[in-house]
Amino acid sequence: MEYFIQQLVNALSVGSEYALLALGLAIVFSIIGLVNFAHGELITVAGYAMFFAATTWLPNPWMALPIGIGGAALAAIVFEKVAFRAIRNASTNTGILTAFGVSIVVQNIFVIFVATRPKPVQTPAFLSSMIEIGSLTVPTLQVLETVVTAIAIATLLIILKKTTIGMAMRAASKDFMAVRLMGIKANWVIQSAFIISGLLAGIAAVFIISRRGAVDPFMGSVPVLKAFVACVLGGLGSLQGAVIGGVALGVFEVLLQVTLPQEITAYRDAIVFGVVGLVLVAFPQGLLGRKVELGDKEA
Amino acid sequence: MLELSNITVQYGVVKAVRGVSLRVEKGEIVSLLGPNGAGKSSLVSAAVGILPVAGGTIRFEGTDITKKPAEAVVAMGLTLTPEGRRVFADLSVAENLHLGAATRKDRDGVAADIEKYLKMFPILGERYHQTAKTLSGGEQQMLAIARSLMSRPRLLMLDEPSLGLAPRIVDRIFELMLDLKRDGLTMLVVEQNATDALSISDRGYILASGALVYEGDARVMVDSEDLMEAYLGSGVH
Repeated sequence: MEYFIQQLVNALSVGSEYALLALGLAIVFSIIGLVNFAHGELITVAGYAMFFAATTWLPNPWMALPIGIGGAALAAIVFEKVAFRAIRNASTNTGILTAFGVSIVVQNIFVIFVATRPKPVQTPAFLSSMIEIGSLTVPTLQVLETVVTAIAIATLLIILKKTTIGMAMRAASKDFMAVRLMGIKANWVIQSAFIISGLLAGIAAVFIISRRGAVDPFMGSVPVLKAFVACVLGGLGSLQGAVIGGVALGVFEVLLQVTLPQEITAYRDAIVFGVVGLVLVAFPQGLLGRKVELGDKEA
Repeated sequence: MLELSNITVQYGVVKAVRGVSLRVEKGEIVSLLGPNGAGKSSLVSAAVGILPVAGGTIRFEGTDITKKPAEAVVAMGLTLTPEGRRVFADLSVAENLHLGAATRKDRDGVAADIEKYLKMFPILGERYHQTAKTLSGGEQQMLAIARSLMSRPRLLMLDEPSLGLAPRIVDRIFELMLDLKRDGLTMLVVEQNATDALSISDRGYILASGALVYEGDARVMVDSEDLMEAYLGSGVH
């Protein structure tokens, strides 16, 4: 029983991490149709922001957390302004290539100016503590990750539902031109989407870095792939789909990790992606994706 | 109030609008007529700043807005209810109306306007919390118009407001435009439904193949059988 609960908490925390990252990818994709493969680099930037703050002046390890989150949000703004704004009306392929370009540039900035080797990052000791309830022991970090993710998603829902910018973002995901006809600035909507994606990535980054205890220039590449798979699984462009896809992917991974015989755990990712492939054969638009027929006016 | 001078709109090498000049005076309803593909939608889209202008100038209340983006033009008081209504399908009627008022800061004024338009379009009040996609075509058109009005435009351009609607609903929409005119709103109406549009208009323009072929008094135009037949298919619709 304890083992089951421990693994459940573990599964939810992994799922939460994927959901946060997938949600950030999805919100940008839903509005400008860009699959931002540089999303992983937001995690890296958050990590190095925490690393530099810790090694220079940081008086209190807790302050590293807002610095990481803020760093990721700031990086998202810069990516949009410097790279993505110029190609806003270009084809999807141009967007993907630009995103890979941003990703490569950022990775190499850290390789050249810091180091290829991982650098240690101190996070508050509390985050690596354990919660004990009777005979049950679970990592504080995993519980927090799930709770914080739930709060972040709830906050995002309120923003999307209740604020003008939230409504504008939902509207823009279907009809950007009509949003501009409301007198709403395109830049404002797009920038807000990037800021939100940055904040979500920053929150995920804090947990990822607390778990690893170190940053390196390439730490964003695997998470962004997982987030992309989660988005595709849930239905690319659907925000609910991103959350469901993320949680499903995380839970499934942990499930395999726990149940697979030792000899084949190395094939875990291959099995996961194989199953995702099968799901997509059955639901080509993803679990929550809407089927659009060729020639439909509303895409 | 609105003055388009020698406007050209281009898609790649194809000129959709070729050197068209047109003006709308304060308090008027002006019809912009012509067959499908004449360039009517391109012209009003360019006027509001959604399409770039390849040549010519656009002035609104004396200010040059030729190069201004749509969001700036709308904030100045010139807006467009686009062809096909383009309501936000997944948003509620309430949210559609709120987004229409996105340029405004006066919360009380916005609330009062919503009240006013719910009185003008009672069906929108009944469907206030439903998503726009559950509305019928006519209801969506009314929502689209109310949403445009929420920005308090001084000049409203309507692109094919009668498209695909039952005759009874079309009448209702044209009546409504007369009410709005009485309230002091200036309008430019793009229509294929020439007779109905001219019946509420002060003046009319006819576009064919991207060029202006006729302009004149609306009453004269309705009565001119030759004109209606030559350009507008004898007014049957």
